Amino acid sequence: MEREIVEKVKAQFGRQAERYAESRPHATGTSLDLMVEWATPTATDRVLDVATGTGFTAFAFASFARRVVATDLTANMLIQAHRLAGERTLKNLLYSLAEAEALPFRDGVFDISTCRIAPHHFGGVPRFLAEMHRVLRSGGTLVLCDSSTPEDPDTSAWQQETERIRDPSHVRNYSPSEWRRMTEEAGFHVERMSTEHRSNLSLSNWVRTAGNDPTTVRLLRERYLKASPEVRNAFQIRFEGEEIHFSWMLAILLARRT
Amino acid sequence: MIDKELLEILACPSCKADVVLDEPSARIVCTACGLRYPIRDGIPVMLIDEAEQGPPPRKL
Repeated sequence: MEREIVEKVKAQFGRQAERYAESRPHATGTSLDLMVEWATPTATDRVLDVATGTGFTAFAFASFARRVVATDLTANMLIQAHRLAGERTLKNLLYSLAEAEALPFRDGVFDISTCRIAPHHFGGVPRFLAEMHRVLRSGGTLVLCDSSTPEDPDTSAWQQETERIRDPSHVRNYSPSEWRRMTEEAGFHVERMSTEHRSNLSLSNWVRTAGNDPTTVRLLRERYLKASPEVRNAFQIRFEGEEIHFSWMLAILLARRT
Repeated sequence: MIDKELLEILACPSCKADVVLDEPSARIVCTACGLRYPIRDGIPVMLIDEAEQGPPPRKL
């Protein structure tokens, strides 16, 4: 990961760990249910959850797996995850700070590896996927979910710029075809892919989670108000009084390590 | 200090070689490149940028 991106992510998420712990879109959602359903963790599996944040994906897998190792780039996130796991009396979690592109694990030690709503912060998704491949055993399962972007370049560009204004650590959202290509290139066989789930967001909550200042909030509001009909349609933008609702599509992918 | 299972699966994020726990210094040490990773709040800090370059490791 490029140094500049790592520092931005640390700054953004070190500050925001407690708000993420309270944030509903990260805490619930059927995308997580689908990931668990597809991956089918069993009582013998050792699972890796990369960029766990405050641990919601790790917790979902920990209910079924023997062991879940949760990593993040930010110590504050893992401290929050550890606290929340304690509240849920989950005892089969282990934690390590790690960069997604330089995982600190031996080859082939995991049965399942996951990463949810995080790769858009990674500077090097191909390196991350190569690392996921390395730490999985032969035949192991990769299950990913991330905010995605339309295949159409114009609507995609609007979304990428909006994300970067809100969160300087945002790198880019990848389209479903980009996800499939990168995952296959890393040596996986993509077995299932879904783009049916969406992350439903409201602007007021979205900027609060990021800790945006009033100037940035104004700038973002104007972008939504001036968005083209194509953009409004692609992201289901709707106005309700002072509130702006919208949604990002999610790409969910199940792949087998060959 | 560190869970036994975690120590067994950890590797150096830089060169991917095996690591060992150095209890007196509370560091996880790479057996190949000698990078030394701190442990904070019981959590291994396996970040290359936060590692110290130790002396060349002794052959075990």
